[in-house]
Amino acid sequence: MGDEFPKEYDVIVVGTGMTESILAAAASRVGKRVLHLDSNEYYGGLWASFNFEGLQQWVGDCQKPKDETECKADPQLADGESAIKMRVLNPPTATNVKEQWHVPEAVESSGDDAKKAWSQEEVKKLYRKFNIDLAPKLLYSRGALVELLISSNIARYTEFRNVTRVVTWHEGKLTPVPCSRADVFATQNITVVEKRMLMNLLQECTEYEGNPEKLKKHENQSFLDFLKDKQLTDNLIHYVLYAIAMSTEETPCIEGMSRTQKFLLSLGRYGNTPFLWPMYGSGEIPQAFCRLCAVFGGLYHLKRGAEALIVGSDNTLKAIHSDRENLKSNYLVMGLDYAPDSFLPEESPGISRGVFLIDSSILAADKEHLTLLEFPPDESSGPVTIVEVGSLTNACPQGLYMVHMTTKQKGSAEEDLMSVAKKLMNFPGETDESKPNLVWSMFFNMKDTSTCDLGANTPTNLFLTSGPDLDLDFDFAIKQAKEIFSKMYPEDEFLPRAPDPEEIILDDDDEDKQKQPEEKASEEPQE
Amino acid sequence: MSQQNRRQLVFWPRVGGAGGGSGGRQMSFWDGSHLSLDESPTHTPADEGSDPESESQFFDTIDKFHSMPEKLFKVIIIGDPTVGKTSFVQRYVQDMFKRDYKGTVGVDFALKILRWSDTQTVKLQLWDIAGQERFTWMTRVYYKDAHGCVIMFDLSNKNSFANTLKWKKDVDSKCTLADGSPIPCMLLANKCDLPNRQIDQMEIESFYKENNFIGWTETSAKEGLMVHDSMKFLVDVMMRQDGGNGLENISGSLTLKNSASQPRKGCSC
Ligand SMILES: Nc1nc2c(ncn2[C@@H]2O[C@H](COP(=O)(O)OP(=O)(O)OP(=O)(O)O)[C@@H](O)[C@H]2O)c(=O)[nH]1
Ligand SMILES: [Mg+2]
Repeated sequence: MGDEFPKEYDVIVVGTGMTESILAAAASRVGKRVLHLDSNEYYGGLWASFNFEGLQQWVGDCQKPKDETECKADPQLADGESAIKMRVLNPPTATNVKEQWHVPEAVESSGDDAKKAWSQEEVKKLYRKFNIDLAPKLLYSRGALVELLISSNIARYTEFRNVTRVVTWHEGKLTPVPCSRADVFATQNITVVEKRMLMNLLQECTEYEGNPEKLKKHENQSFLDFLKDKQLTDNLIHYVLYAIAMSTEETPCIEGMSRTQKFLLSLGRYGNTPFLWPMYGSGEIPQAFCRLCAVFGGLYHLKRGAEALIVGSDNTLKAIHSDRENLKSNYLVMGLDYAPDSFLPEESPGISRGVFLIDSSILAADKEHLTLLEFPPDESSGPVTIVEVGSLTNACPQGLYMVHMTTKQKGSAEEDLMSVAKKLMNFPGETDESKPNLVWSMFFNMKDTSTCDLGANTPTNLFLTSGPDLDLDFDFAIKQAKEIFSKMYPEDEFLPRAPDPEEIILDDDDEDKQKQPEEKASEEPQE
Repeated sequence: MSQQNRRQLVFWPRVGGAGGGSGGRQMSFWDGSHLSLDESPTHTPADEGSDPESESQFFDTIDKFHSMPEKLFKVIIIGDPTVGKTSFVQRYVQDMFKRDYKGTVGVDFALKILRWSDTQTVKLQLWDIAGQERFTWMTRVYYKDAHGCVIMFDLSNKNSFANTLKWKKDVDSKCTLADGSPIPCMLLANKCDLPNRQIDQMEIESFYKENNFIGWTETSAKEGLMVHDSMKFLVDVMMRQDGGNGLENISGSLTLKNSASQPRKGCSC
């Protein structure tokens, strides 16, 4: 397949994670020559979503021993140039990976039992019905990603579903949190007086930006103290602090306010919670950017990485050596998981992840919900972000639910998450009727490199990008992509709107011109 | 869509031109109705495409056109580099062939509008691999919501034939129809105008059956052979499968729009 493979680029991007993919799309969109590589045969790196079989392969890859062998590449070098060799193998940088079944391999079909008894066999048979996220993320309805998808017209490649309820863990059980005005009035969990208090507080939070004076006196206060000052009941404080502001007892007031505001601003745009979930999983999002990049001429090659980086005496990158060829580039963008050790930041904090397959929802209801639960911190664990998705999102087959847990790493993922998991579901041997039964589980840790200084040790025209961060949304990756883009191309617009197909006129001689985008898309997937 | 736009993208197939009659070539269908393929074509070059009537026919019917119900299908075209995917789409949509076709930057698909019957219009979105996505597997985004698929190989390139199986597996693993069944895939053996064919017909014949393609035929994008007929066959299958009522999202899912603040059907919560 090596025919007419160009040898010179404006930007080479190694890795198809979120930040890398946004950058590839942005550069390609403004006419730069882009080469986008990934040494895996799937898109997304640590941002990928897999079906059940694909996930098994990923787990296998993670468990391969780390191989520090350098590539044998022997690139041609010009005067003053040197080659930095890359590792031969780049297994996923996840650690403490532990996958476990909690049901028998096979079960006799039990006839007309009320609850279906799942077996390993049955789950495996349905492997294609899964989209399991390594880095599950939500979008705020008015967050940076939604705005970017719309303004760039990449939204046409994506589909979403509303998170239908926000739930909290309070006094030993799960309760839905009223978060919209309608919810607040409809809920029976709080009194009329509380309703009024809550409405007032939410109102105040949306207005605080215009009132810097008002905030002054809360400057040194925690958000919790602020809420207490408001004479809110414990019930309400819990809702606002943990479920809406997604904060802890230590969160400063201003931060708590602004988190509350972010939540409230996104309410009501698409549904009755502020959040959207990507259909087919978060791994779809980088792929949508990759598609745009390709449509604008970006060259894609999976299962291909770089064997060496060729750096000049002036500490700028000249080329990469890939598949026995030197490929020149003005810039290199590289996912951190590819970076040679000499570029890596000293230490970075970690993320603990758990994925659980269960046979009913953690909080049963009369319809399938898409649920967000911020599990408040307690003695044994920090706050845990929990998203439960069902078959409507294509995350798993009908009759099953997938629960994603994410928290800051303290020990291993299993240690960090087990106590919360035990509260929400039945492990083998347990038979609490009100809880779902666990079918399968997986734990792993990955690095949170979003806080590292990635530019410290690299050539000046090489940009490292971080992997998934702890935040609920994709905003960090967008911010990082924008920063890098403006360093590379300060004059160019970041992802201007791509025309819809019907805005492009094909002339007889194939020259394409773009019509003014005066009409709206009619070919976009629509209801 | 502007008048001009339509004029250039739309091509009407010749009335009665379909059905495997031209040039003695026939398609092989899964129901076994036609298994024979004529080795020596007796076609005249471009015998399917350049019908001078087509334009005028288009203008005659433009008013009727608006009142007809429409079906919309997304068809994806995949296969190894240089097998002729883009040439095939160009031949089908614009009835032209160029020795060297550079991908149009910034477009996802070519649009073809068919008057299927007096009362039925069919719109086809033909998704070609973007010029440069060809060294790689496709993103799932490309396959999303496809109703039908063309997997193409080059009769003079044995490797491209072997790889059709990988392409088939890739499609089947990344998308299904709304009801969960695999999307209909048609196998096309392109460049049948070339003398140095490398793959035996019997081999293709058993291959397509074993691997659940809906049918196969030889084509030549260059000569315009079996281009319309093969597509007609695929559209037929898609029509029978009763999809194509627009590129429908799974019920209740959202497509982001600028104006949007409207919750959509199925998610009134
Ligand atoms: N003889 C002959 N040549 C053809 C035919 N179809 C395409 N070609 C030639 O094959 C070459 C590749 O055609 P393309 O249509 O660009 O192939 P493609 O599959 O789109 O290739 P990529 O976009 O690179 O993946 C061109 O030189 C075409 O002229 C055919 O039916 N017969
Ligand atoms: Mg092409």
